[in-house]
Amino acid sequence: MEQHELEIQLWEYIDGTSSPAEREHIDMLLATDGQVKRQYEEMLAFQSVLQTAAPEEPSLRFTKNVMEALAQTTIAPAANKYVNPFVLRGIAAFFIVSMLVIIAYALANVRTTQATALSLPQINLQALHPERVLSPVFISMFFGVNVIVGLVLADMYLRRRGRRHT
Amino acid sequence: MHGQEEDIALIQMVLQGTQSAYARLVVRYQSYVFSLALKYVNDRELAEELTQDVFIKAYRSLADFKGTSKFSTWLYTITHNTCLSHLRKKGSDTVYPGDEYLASFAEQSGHALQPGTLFEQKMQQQMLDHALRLLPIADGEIVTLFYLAEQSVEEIGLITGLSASNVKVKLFRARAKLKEIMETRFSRELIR
Repeated sequence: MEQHELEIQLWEYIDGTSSPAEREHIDMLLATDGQVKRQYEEMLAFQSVLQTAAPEEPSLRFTKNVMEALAQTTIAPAANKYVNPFVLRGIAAFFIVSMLVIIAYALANVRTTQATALSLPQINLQALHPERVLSPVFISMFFGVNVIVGLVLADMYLRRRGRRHT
Repeated sequence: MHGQEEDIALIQMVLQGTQSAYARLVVRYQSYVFSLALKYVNDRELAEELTQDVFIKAYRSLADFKGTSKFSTWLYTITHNTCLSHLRKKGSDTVYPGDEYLASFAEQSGHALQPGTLFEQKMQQQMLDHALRLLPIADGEIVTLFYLAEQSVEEIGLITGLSASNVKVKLFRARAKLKEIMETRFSRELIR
């Protein structure tokens, strides 16, 4: 067994992180190999030095300072309480549907020929007739809905903030 | 270390509005968080500021503590992230102890050595503290979390974002480096 590998196994044995089979193997080595035993004892001695490590203490006023700083602090609500799962699911559904539509459209327009040169499928955007959808009325409605949604969200935010302050 | 159930009970009290219960959590963990912060900044005043930041952040996010891990593991994760972002902001301003500092300490300990006494034990502890300061930040943090904060290899993985096997390898290397530092700079008798 390589020395480096043995050292790793001995440390795992000391830390108690080795598997039962590895423990059995090390037990056997410790019982039969004097050199391994010496190395193990040296490592144990070093381990006991490491275990003497003591934590450093902050200043005596530390706890008081923290509690004074916390006097003006409030606990934030849990993330799962203010993040509406329906909003997240709605956004995810929008992107998934968009991607599926694009993929379906692209696949429907793929022409499989035996052409020698590779070329990207031609997408005929005119066939979609964007002028029918993006009419001035539609754009005005789109912005109108966005403004209303924005106002509703701002109202919700301000109400929540007001409640927190009271 | 402290009981997980007791920590959870204190957290529940804080969440129900008894802010003073948080002071007990601060008292319990302040020295461990402070020791970890010192591995990053090596300046007691700055480390204390970072420790205070950690406890304030933990308090604000207390409602997000799910109890799936130990409170200490969660707190040390905040410590790790707070100290790392501090280092990123400050760039290369961090000061590490130089060789002269260690040489003077080794000289002092060599002269004053009285084997077989409590003093020897104290010196050994001080030597370890000083040698730990010479380790690279990541190594010093892993050794501190494992030996001082009594976190398991898996918990250290959660705190640092490393896999458990990676933590094992890093811990092994950190111990080897630490042993080398102690053997080359301090009296071998003290380490044995």
